[in-house]
Amino acid sequence: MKIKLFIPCMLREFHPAAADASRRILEYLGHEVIIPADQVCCGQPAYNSGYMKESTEVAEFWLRQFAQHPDSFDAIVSPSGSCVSMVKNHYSHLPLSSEASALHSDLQSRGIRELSEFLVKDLGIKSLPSTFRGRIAYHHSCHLNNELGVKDAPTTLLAGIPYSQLLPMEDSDRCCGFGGTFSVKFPELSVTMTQFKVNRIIESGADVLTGADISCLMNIHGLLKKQAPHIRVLHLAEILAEGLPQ
Amino acid sequence: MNPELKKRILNAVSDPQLQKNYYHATASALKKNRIRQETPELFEDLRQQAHDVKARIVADLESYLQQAKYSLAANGMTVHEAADAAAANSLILSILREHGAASVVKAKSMLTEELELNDFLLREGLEVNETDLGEYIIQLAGEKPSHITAPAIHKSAAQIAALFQEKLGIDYTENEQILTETARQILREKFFEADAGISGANFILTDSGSICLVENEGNIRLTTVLPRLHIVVVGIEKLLPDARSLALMMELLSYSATGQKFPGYESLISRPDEGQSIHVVFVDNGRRKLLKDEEMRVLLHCIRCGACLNTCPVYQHVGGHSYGWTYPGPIGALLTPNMRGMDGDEDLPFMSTLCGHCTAACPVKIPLHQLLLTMRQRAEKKDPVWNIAMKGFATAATHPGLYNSAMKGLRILQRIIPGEGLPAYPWAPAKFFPKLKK
Repeated sequence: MKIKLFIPCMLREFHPAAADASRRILEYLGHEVIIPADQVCCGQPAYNSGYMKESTEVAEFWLRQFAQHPDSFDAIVSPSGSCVSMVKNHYSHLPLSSEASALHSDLQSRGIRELSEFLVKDLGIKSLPSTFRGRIAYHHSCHLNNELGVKDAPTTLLAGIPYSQLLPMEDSDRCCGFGGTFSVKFPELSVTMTQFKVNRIIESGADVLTGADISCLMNIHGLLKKQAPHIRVLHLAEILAEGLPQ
Repeated sequence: MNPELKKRILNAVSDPQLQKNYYHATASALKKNRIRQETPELFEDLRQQAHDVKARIVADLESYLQQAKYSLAANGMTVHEAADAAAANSLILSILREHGAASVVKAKSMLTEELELNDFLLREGLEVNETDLGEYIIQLAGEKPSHITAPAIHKSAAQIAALFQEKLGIDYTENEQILTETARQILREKFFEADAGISGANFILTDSGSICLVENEGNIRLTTVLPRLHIVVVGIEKLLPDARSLALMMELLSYSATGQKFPGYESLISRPDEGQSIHVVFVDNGRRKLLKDEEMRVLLHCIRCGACLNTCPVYQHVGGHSYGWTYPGPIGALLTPNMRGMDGDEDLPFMSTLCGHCTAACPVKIPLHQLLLTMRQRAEKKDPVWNIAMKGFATAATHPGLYNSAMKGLRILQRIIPGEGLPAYPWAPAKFFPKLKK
């Protein structure tokens, strides 16, 4: 398949290794990966803050960017549940122009997928030959879990790594307290929620924390790096791509 | 932001005992919802059916309400309607006075909390005793409920033990059986002495004119049966068309509220006993405002099970009282600004991470977190800092060249700031802005 890789802004700016890892996984599986130039953001920060005009502008720009060269791709894949859900589920709540709406329908019909969902549900893959070694705790990010309904795909892939162990973690599907602009408007509450998450991660005995959304992982890392510096924080794609040919 | 809300949040997050109380009680209720845990497809199917039943009622609420009033009256009950809290309270008082009632036993009712009926009746010189154990505890403590189905959820066994010691003069004990038995003995007398019982209603069946009440303690049955006057105070939306839909709702309500297949007691009251009078007071108090609002109308589906509270990580940390009115949690963050609409209530829909656990748990399929987003869109954009930030964001996100230059600037700034770098927010020094990668 020909796949356009949607790289969320936070991933690109803070954790680009996960974007590269996503590309390597897809190429390893024999797919052609296209990385559209000039992709910035899906508009979620403005949308979640209630700014419809601003989020609509950003969404329409995103749609125009990704709809370019319609003959060149079959689907859009992204290593983020939250950003995929924004495009897939929430763009239809925006007052898009009829032109942008048509682009949206076209992209929807091709498929807009989160990476692990694409690998497991669309391609039927159960494991990848990752050489990663570690005791892994997995954080179920909320939008992937609740809005896309993807619960088992990431853990299936993680459980299939031969030299790693996927550990059970209490409240693994509980929100980390980030919530985008929520963490700016309610910082004390956000930190309290993150602390709860961090306690659970430490209690799990893991030496690696992973998840499918870099925004949650970065938020958790903010506290974890001080309280448990031995626990590494990696995006799911990085763990799955370890040892795959470049 | 509403400074009162801010103060309440700060109090809650600096109280680890409070958060522990909430967490233990809510998480255990959630895990017991076996229908959802073990057969998610069945749960999905049932809640779609429940959604459809409520949508049918809400779409034609006035006719169903007329039918309910007619059926109830035909069964020998007296039916009233009140537009708001003041009207409802004085109506209830006049019914009590008419029957010469001086003492009242009450079954748990969130609507009467909404009306602040207890305070009103006490001011008018009546004796009012809450008979639900949780309600009894908070009445003793002089507090308000912190949860829709478990009003004293914010209190630990030790706190209740100290309260009983102080107010009831018993020896300090955390033994739940002794505490419950103490309340039971006191309340048993109140039931026999009371002139009137006031209850809410979980559902009113419009076709047969029956009042349905659900509970685990048996106090509702005593409240509605022992006194010669029974007043039912119920929201105009709490209607179901027939017994078939009641069976569906009962299963969903019970599993979603407490994880039980059936509640301990389920009362269906279809006519007064001999020598007893039943008055049904339908209350609007903001519900017709919801009805007129096409996007928010779906909030009238709510059956007050509390599942969205139990699953909400924000609720578990800030607690029920932080929301400032009768209904806490995600449903409260929607009902309060829409029904009460006081200055400052518009902040509540922002007090959510939009994680969507509420929407996934709701047994009548209210799209709670989507409605929170709708409320955010409606909120007046008053803060100039946010307005400029969002405008700037939209400009950068639609102009890649400009965006890339801005990021380049930030990278340079990060390189020259020593140590850990920029604090993520100056007011939350626990978190640091992560380093941008090259």
